[in-house]
Amino acid sequence: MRPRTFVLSLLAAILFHLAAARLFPVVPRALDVFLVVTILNGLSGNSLAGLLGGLLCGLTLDTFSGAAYGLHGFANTLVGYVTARVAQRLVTRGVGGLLVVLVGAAALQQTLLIVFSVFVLSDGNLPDPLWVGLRVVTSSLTGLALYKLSQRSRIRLEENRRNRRARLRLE
Amino acid sequence: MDERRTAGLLITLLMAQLLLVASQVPADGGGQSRLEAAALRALAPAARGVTFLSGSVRTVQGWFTQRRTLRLKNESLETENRELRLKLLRLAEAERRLENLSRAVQYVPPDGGRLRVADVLYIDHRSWVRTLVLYAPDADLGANQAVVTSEGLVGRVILVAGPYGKVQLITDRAASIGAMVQRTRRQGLVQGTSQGELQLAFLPRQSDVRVGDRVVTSGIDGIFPRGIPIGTVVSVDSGNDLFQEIRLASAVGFATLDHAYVLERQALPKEVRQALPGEQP
Repeated sequence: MRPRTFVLSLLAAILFHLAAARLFPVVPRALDVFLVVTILNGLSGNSLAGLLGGLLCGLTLDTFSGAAYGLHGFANTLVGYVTARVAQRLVTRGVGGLLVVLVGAAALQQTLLIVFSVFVLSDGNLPDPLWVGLRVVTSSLTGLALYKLSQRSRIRLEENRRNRRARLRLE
Repeated sequence: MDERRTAGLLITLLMAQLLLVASQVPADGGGQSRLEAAALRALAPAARGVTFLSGSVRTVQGWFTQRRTLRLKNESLETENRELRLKLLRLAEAERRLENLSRAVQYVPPDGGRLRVADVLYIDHRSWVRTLVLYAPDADLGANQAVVTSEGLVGRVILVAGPYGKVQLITDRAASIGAMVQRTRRQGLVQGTSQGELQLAFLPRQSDVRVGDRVVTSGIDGIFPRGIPIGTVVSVDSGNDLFQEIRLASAVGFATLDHAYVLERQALPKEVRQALPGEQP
């Protein structure tokens, strides 16, 4: 993901998160858009961009959430880096392979948050497993849909560009 | 940057965040982090923009959908208004009697504080932490100020960044409020649960609590003044322990919260709250 695309994606995620929290409160509980941006950014295969993107996304979510500041920042930094490293070593063209990477990244983030909650924050109350599972599934599926959409639009853009070049100019 | 340097940066960033999180553990309700306050100050205007837009959309939507029901609503409000006026007359009389009695026994009630209106910008509805961000340009925001609505208690301010404040909701799992059953004056603690509900803890099995009882703040925690509605008892289970398991329905509907009031009131000094009996001054 290019830096400009990442910044625009992050801004869109902030607006979506805030609007959803206002209009449909169940959406932010079930879908972590900042995680989706982190994973999509990591899928480009640049580990530095992956970890910095994860850091920004995580801290943005921490600003609005009531959790300890840096909790999501830590989890998303690691998720961004790991996703980028995986993307460097694996070729994930098919839906199945891509979905495995997405589910793995989302599950890693939720596991990190739970581990933090138990060992660092020493909190006995764990999050509801149903919501944790739902967040993993919806975040992965949203990530998959957005990734495929961006790929398709990129291909279409390339085709248009090629067609334009192939045309004869009569000026 | 090569992979080795990136891995080094990753470890540095993770360690820094680990220290940041660990530094907040002893603080009650998240603590006052400068970095968090700066981030809130930078990002909260976006939340204000979204709140303004969604409010405008709702207003326009309301013009079309509520036109038919306005007349009926007006009639019911007029009836309610008449009843409330009668009630107010009775309460004014009771207040005068209470003042006379207080004067007779030289009782000075604690300062109730001043209410300042605040816009609710964002509510965190996720499953295991519950906070909201509010915008109160006219209020002198400070940590541990109570936040209320006309229905009841919302929470307390835990972080201040200029005119913006982060509020820990009463349904947050780390929240704990001194409370009492209004009918019997029996005191306990209202705590949030990880499911975002409320429970009334530390009420012995023999104490009289019924479904439908109103629970209000007791004023013993040094943060919330006495008498603010918290919720209503929805279930009472005698349980196997020494104490009953009591679930409450919150008096405030958090899903439809647009405005709240910050109670500007002198909180009990920390030294007084933490002082132990028998300690030398």
